[in-house]
Formats: sequence, C-alpha cells, structure tokens
Amino acid sequence: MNKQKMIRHVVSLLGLLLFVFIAVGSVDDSGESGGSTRPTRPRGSSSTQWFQGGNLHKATVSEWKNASYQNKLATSADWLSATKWKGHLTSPDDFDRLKLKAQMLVNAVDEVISGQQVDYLHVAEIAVALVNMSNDFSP
Amino acid sequence: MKRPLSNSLSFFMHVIMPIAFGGLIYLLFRAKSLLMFRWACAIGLEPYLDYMRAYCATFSIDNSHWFFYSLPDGLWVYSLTAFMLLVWGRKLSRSSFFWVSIGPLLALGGEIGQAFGVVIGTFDPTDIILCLIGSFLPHVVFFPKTSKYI
Repeated sequence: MNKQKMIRHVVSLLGLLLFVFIAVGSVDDSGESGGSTRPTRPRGSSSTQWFQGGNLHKATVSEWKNASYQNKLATSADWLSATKWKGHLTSPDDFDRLKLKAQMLVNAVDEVISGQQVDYLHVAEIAVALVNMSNDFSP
Repeated sequence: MKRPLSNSLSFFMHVIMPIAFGGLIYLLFRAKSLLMFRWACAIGLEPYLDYMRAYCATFSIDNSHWFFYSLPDGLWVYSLTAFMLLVWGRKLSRSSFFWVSIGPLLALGGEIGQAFGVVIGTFDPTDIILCLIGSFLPHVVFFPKTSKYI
C-alpha cells in the first residue's frame, strides 16, 4: 500500500469518526435517536391512539417535567381540542394537524419552564396562556 | 494551484455547508434535550440559540415534517459521502468503495434497524427516501470524476 493511499485511509477514518460524533449529538438525554420530540407517523395502527391517555391536566410543573412525552402530547391535545380546536376535528387529517400543534404546545411549555423555578405552578395555567396568546395553535 | 482551490470550495460547499445546515435545523427547531445543546451551551452559545429559537418558533411547521425530521439525516449522508469522494479524488475504486459506501450503509442500516426495532429511534420512510437521495446526489454532483471505475 503506497503512502498516499495510507494517508487517505487515515483521513477517511478520522472523517468517519467526526461524522459519527456529530450524529451522536442528535441523540437526546434518554438515548432516543433524533430527540424525544420526533413525531411518530401520522397514520398507522401504532399511532392512532396518540391523543389518548393524557392525565396531566391538573399537574404541577414538577409533575409535568417528570412525565413521559406521550402523556404530555395527549394532554396537550386535550387542551387544544377543548379550546381553539373545538368543532374542528372532523377528519383524520384534522387529527394529524392537531398532533403537530400539540407537539408545538409541548415544546412551548417545556421551553417556558426550562430553567425556571416554577415547579409549584399548575402547568395548565401556562399552557392556557400560551394557547390564548399565540395564533400558532389555531386550526 | 487550481485543484486545491477547487477541492477547498467543494469541501466547503458539499461537506461543511450541508452538515452545518443540518445542525442548524436541530439547534433551532428540535428539542433542547439533544446532546448537541449541551455542547452548544458548554461553548457559551445558549443565549444566542435561545434568541434564534424564539424567532424560529414563529414559523409554521405544517407539512414540514420532512424538513425538520428527515432532511438533517439526508444532509448528514450527503455530507459524509461527499467528504469520502473528495478524500478519494472523486473516484470510485476498490480502495475507496468501502469508505464512499459507509455513509449510506450506516444511515440506511440504521433506518432498517429502526423498522425492525433493533435500533433505537422512530422509523420513518421519508428518512429512507432522503438518505437515498443524500447517498446518490454526491455521485451525480461529482459525476465526471466518479465515472472512473476500476
């Protein structure tokens, strides 16, 4: 193997390691590739019940922080479907759109409470304020 | 002098730019629980990222699922494949074939692994489509040189 080819192998290996290192950056704290906020497929048998099972409606911020993403998502969907989305859920596509908005709401709540000492607050108060103040959560 | 300059420009355009753009999508639109946020915070970028994320939060994400969740994967494969092609003089040979193929193999293998539950993550057919595009596009871009097979 000549010297130039050897150098190319070494550079390729180093480059590969660097790219793998960058890919590791897209893993979240829980080890989930692509981050926990990555939505599941909008349609399909495994994701048809994504909006069910939310029980954080009266939770405090502290409880919200420790809840699963699925629970947060389903709870957010409940908040939206009871407010701005009331009467707008008439087709499967509407549920797909609601899911995106619910994901946005989960992210927004997480963003608001991150780094803040507000564990005693009820997360519903924050969510309702966000939904009311922003047009982004409208159908 | 022409070739190194050309290679530098190609390296910037086809390796640095795509991977940087993919990284920006993660940093500006994805959850802050990602490891790269810790790295960004460690080097003092958090205030700037928070400012930009607040601005980007106003963008609508309707029908943009592929942009936020699949495009970064495709850009990663594109960038890695382009990097290997540039390192190996834009030629496919017996020596370079393994390195040029490793990006697509890792990305597509990971996606297929996710489909079967072997790899952690959410399987998404859109990821596969964009990874395939990211795998082949560098060959199209560098076609005049990569047409030399051994």
